[in-house]
Parts: sequence; structure tokens; C-alpha cells
Amino acid sequence: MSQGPELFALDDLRVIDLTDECGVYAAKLFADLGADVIRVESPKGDPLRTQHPLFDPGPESGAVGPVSLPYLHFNSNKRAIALDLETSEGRVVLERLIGDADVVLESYHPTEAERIGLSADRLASVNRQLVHTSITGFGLSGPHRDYISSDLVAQAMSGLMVLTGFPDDPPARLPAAQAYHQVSLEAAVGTMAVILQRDLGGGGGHVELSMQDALAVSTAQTANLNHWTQLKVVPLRAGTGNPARTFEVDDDGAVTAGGHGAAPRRTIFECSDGWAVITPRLVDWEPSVAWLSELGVASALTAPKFDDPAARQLADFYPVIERLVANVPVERVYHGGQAHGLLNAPVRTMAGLFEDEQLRARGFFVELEHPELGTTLTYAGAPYQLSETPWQLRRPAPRAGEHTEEVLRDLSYSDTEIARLAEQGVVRLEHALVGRTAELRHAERDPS
Amino acid sequence: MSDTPLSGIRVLDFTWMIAGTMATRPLANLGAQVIKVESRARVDGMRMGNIRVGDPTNPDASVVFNDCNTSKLGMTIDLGRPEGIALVKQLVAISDVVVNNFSGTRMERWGLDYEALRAIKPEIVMMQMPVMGTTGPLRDYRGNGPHILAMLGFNDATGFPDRPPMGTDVAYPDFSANPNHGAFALLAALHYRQRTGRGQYIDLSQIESTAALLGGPLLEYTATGHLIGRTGNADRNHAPHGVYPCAGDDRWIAIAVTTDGMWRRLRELLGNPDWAQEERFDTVEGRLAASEELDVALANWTHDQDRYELMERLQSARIAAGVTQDVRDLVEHDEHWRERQLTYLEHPELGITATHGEPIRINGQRAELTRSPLLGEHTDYVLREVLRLPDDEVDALYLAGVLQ
Repeated sequence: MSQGPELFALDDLRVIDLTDECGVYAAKLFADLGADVIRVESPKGDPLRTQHPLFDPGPESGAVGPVSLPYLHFNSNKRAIALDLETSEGRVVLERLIGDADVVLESYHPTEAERIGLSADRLASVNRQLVHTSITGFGLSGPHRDYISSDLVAQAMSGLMVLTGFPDDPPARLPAAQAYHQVSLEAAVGTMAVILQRDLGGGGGHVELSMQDALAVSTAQTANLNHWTQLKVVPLRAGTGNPARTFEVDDDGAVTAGGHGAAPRRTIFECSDGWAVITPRLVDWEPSVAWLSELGVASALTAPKFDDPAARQLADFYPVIERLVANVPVERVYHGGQAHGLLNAPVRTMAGLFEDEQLRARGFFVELEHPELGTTLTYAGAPYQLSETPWQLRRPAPRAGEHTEEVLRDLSYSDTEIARLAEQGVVRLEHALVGRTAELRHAERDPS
Repeated sequence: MSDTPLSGIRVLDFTWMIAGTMATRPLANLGAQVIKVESRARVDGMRMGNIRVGDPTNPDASVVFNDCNTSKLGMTIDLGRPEGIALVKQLVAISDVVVNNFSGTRMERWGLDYEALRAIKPEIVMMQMPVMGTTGPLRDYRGNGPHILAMLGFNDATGFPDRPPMGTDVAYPDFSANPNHGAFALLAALHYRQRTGRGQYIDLSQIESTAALLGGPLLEYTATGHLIGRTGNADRNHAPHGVYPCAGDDRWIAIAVTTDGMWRRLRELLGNPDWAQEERFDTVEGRLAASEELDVALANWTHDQDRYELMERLQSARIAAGVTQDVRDLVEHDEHWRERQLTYLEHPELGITATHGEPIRINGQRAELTRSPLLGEHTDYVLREVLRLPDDEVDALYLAGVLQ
């Protein structure tokens, strides 16, 4: 960890955050490594401030409506300016912001981005050194460019959902808006790559990410495109934690149910007090048998025929595991298997994370004081530990328009100019702890 | 303008399997010179993984290895020998980044820990990304994507409430949190080095990096005590919101009505039936309260429609909707994805294989990918053209069997 004064990897970068929920995590990644991230919101407030789940800080906080917890999570360490981009004056202020910035992150629908003057050419003409990153549902090219997306739609179209759940159920999605996280992560990587290009003497550039492209990485590999292109097999959700239910397709393209030879792999087993992930592998035959023998009689796996490794099958494990772990607590399955070098893991609720000895020993969870809420909240911590420039949660998410005046002064606006902009409703100077209100909810971006 | 922004950056890459190799994949695709180091005695395990072609012992016949290692150079060094370690140290001296995702203390045992690397090159950026991190009481525990998901509560929050917590069949953390957090941290550290001349050490614990993608639900639990649990495809902010059956076997469409305007347009598309005129559906609060009722009504409408035609109709009305596609659909039916992402690589052992492109597009250009390296394919090139060793030294390394 750093010694002496706190150092930041990105504190020389100014990032203008014009994202909605699709890209807000990308901007957080910059903010948490020290970049000056300025989130632009409407004078009415940021629609993300209305997102469930909500937290009611009580009347003495002065909050207008209950406060959005996702808003707090995704916007810590950022500044906020309340600026009306529907006015031409507002767009002039935005151009000055962009002229002075290193990065613009935006997630407007392509036609909306053009309407408010955020095309790549336009921004490049405002600031040649700018890194401009566009996050969209389907990208800026191709026949579906103008399609509307969402977390659910992106998970569906990328192939993730047909691999999640049980064969008899509808396809299911991953929790906690993973499409937004995945596209934000890849957008942050692309943005930093062009920042580095600048560092090495090059210019700025335009980075483009689509939610579908970003998420399809998982499925193109896990379910693998070549299952179809070469083997004419379509992996589908098996409800076992592993892609095994497949359809085979004959030369005429007719689909028939059935596996493609191998027995289904199982990964999740019921224990005495819950579920555990147990992934036996043939290379781990001996330690697996040793571990199972500790739990009870595993004679089915010690028959002389298994002295020949060629006779061993994964399917031989499953009935033995099923029988032996049924009376064993999950945590014992976890630690007992790991003691033999086996890849066992507990199926926990999120509450279990706070008890996890490894996360606790490494200090993963971080407490942040919220003077505005009159409380302290515990946040998920650093995704990485950088020895010289640690990830840090420095301050809570901003109140609506909290830094409007400060940011305008940074841009050398005079007191008179600031007062005039406020009077015209282009900016809003008074700031408030805005939560979910009906008025703000109706300010959401409707792609009509 | 260049579409290879990382030209000039050199990465010495000891990653293997997926989570690590996917961290250096975008760096390689975006122009960094990524030198993948393996030993013949211990190749990247993914070389032995599925899908395979032909001889099960051929290290150059794995499709997933080919997917994960595009645009990289590959060399072999016997790391069990001091001459091999000495050669690695020569490569460290000309590299910007050293990265691995071994569990435990493998790099230390080779004498290639951060202190040793820093002694060779003070401004080196080193990242280790074991599953549990490099410190802590459980640092030697093992696992991969499915284990991480289960431990962190993803499974508990995936799927339908009356079903066991089976999670997903996708090794999601291996493709999302871990490689991308890793690549971002490396680039941020390189940026800091460009400014200050100082390198650093990055410890990425895969469980922490993946837990960071649950920030909202974790904060909700600490602030309110509520656990999200399994709620299928329902959403707390939007209704109707779900997956609805279409004509055919196991055919579905996802529909997400995320604004009141979208609801009004959907109602019109439904033909303005009487039931949909009820005032309570005009607001999201009303629709959320009636979400099960709305799901039944929508399923009734979708179940005999063609999924792609329905998607077109909904999208034409500016309603968020998409087919739940499988890999066959991506390749055969999704002209859009095919045009943007589908990539065919020609490989001497695998023939023509399909993979996804680099999802990061720079200046409107689709990055040009090259196939993964065969085992040891670029050993000679790296020694002569990158390290610029004289011929006699290269010959001596070959003769001594160091390049195995």
C-alpha cells in the first residue's frame, strides 16, 4: 500500500460523464482511481436518482423522496453539474466542459447523441485530444443500430439467457444488471487504451462499444460458436451449472433433442444445509476419492477396475457425491474439498460475503460516511489492489447539482455569467438531496 | 487516426486458461505486443480444452484456446531451468507489463516475484490475478468462474424462486469482471508510469473483482438488510419486463417496457384492448403492482407469433425487445451481430474456426485479429527480432534445450 501522501493513478484526467445506467459503471472505474469525473444531469435531476432499491434517510435529512442506493453506489467520488442540454446555452457550456476534458463517456441512443451534438466528428472538432467513448445497445453501425436495448434485451440477444436456468423454464437473466457492467468494463478498457495512445505521443480517438457485442463474448466462447459452425450442435441451458443440454441438427437442419455423446456434467449438489459447487475432474481422481472417503463409504470409486485411468468416467462420481454430501454442511464440503486441492465452493447468499474470512482478512468491504444521510454505509470495495495508487472511496455520490457553481468556476465563468445562466434555467445552483420523485421519474429518457 | 492505440506496449504474458488470457486479449487486439510464455512441460491448460480437433494430445488443436489468445505471440521457455529464468529476466528488462493468473506462489518459486522484477526494471507493472488474491488465509484455494459465481451469491439471485440455485451455464466472471478489471488496472498503472516513471504491483483477487459487479445489491443488503434472491426476469424498476413464449419449441422474446411512453406504444401494438386501457397501467407503480397479470396477458399475445418478426414490430414501435438467441441464431439469424462481430480465423490444425471479434472498436474500425500462436511458434522471432540476441546465443539456447 502507498506510504506518505495519497497518490492516484488517474488524477490528471477529467472525465465528463454523460451516461445513463448502461455506462455509469465505466465512469465509476475512473472516479475510483482518482479521475475528476463530472456527471452532467438535468436541472430536474438525474433519472438514475429514482432507481430502486431505495433508502429512506428520514425527514431530518431534508431528502426529497427516498434515495436510490444504486445511484449512491455508481456515483461515489464524482462531481455533479445540473445543466440543461435541451437549451442551446446549455450545449455551449457542455462544449466548454468538453474542450477542457480528457474523456467523454456517453450512452445516448445514436440518434439522440446526434440530436444533442455528440457525434464523434463534432466532439473531435471541439477537442482533438479528446477520448470520446460511445456506449450503445447495438453499436453505431449495422442493421440494428437504432434498436432499443436494456439489460434484459442485451442478455437475450447476446445468447446469455438461453444458457441460464432449467430446460423447462423460460431462459433467465443474470442479476444486478450485468449487461451494463460488462459493457462499462470494456468501454473503460477501450478508453484507457486511447488515453495511453495519447501518453505515447498520439492523439485522441473515438471508442465504441455495444452491449450485445460486449456480452456475446461470454457466450461465443462458453457455448462456443463452433459447436454450431463445425459440429452442428446448439448448447442450451441444462440447469446443472454447465452447458450440457444440446440439440443435434441433421443435414436438413432439423433439430432433435438429445446430447452429443458425453454424459451431462454436474456441478451443484445438495448438502445438509444448502448447496455446494463440486466439480470433479478426472485429473483429480485420487484426491477426489480421498476426500469422499473422509465423508463415508466411497467403495464404488475404489473398485479394482478404476486402477486403469481409462476406465474412469465423470459420471462415476455423481451418485457417490450425491449420497455422501447429503448429510454434510456446505462449509465443510467447501473447506474439506479445498484441503485436498479440489475445486469445491459454497453456494451462498450475498449475506454470506460479509462472513467470508478471505474477504474480511483482505478488507474488501469499505465503510463510507454519509453526512447528508446522517449515517455510514458499507460498500463493495476495490476490484483490484494497486500498490502505489490504491482504489479509494473518498466521498459519497453528489447531491443533485452539488458542484454546478464549482465546475462553472473551473471553466472561468464569472459570477455574472453564472447568475445569468441560473436565471435562464440553463444551470441550477441550489442543490438538494433528490431521490425518487414522480416529477423526476417522468424525466427519464424515452426513445420515442 | 490509428485503430491500434497500444502499439509500442510490450506485455510479458504468463496467463493461462481464460480469466487471465482474456485480460491480455484486448491488449493484443488493440496493438500491444503480447508475448505469451509457456513451457512444453506445462502448457496453457486451455490448449488441452474443448472443443478439440483430432489428436487429444495435440496442444494446437483447441478452439477455446484459439478464441482467448488472438493476436498474441507464443514462445516456449523451460522455466524449470536457471537458464530459462535468466532468459525470462532478459525479456522483463524490455517489457512494460508482466501478468499472470497462477494461484499460490508459482512466480515466487521461479524467482519472478515483484521484488525480483523490479530489481531488473524499476518501472515494471506487474499484475497477479489468482482466484482468492495473493494474501489472506484462503489465498491457496482454487476455483474458476462457476465457483466464484456460487460463492458470491450470483446463483442465489439467478433464476426462478421455486428452483434450486443452479446459476448460469456461462463462466461469466472469466469473461467479464476478471479480465476487464485486470486490463483496466494495467492500463491505468501504465498511464501513471508514463506520468511519473513509477511502476507498481497489482493484486487482483478474482472473487473481489467479481463481487464489485454486485455493488447495488450488496449496498442494499448493508443499508436495508434485504437480499435480492431469485426473481426470474422480473425487475423492480420496470414492468412489464420478462421473457415471453413465441411460436415454436423453446422460442422466446425478451420485452422490457422501461418508460411510460413505451407502455403506451405497446398498448397500441396490442390493438388497444379494453384490459390495457385501465388507468392503473399508466404509471410504472401500477404496472409493477400488476406485473404478473401483465405477463400473462403479454404471453397470450406473443405465444403464436414468430419471434424475429415480433422483435421487428416491437422495435419499429421503439419498444425494447430482443429474441433470446442461441449460438446458432447468432451465426445464422443475426445479420447485425454477424456483420459487427463474427470472425473466422484460419488455423493450420483447426481449419477455419468462428470466434467473436474485439468488441472494443476504435475510430469506427473493427480490429484485425490474428489466430492464436501455435505452441512455441514465435520463440525464434522473439529471441532474434524482439530481444535481438546474436545468433550464437540463440543457437546455444536451442542446443541446451532451454527453449522447451
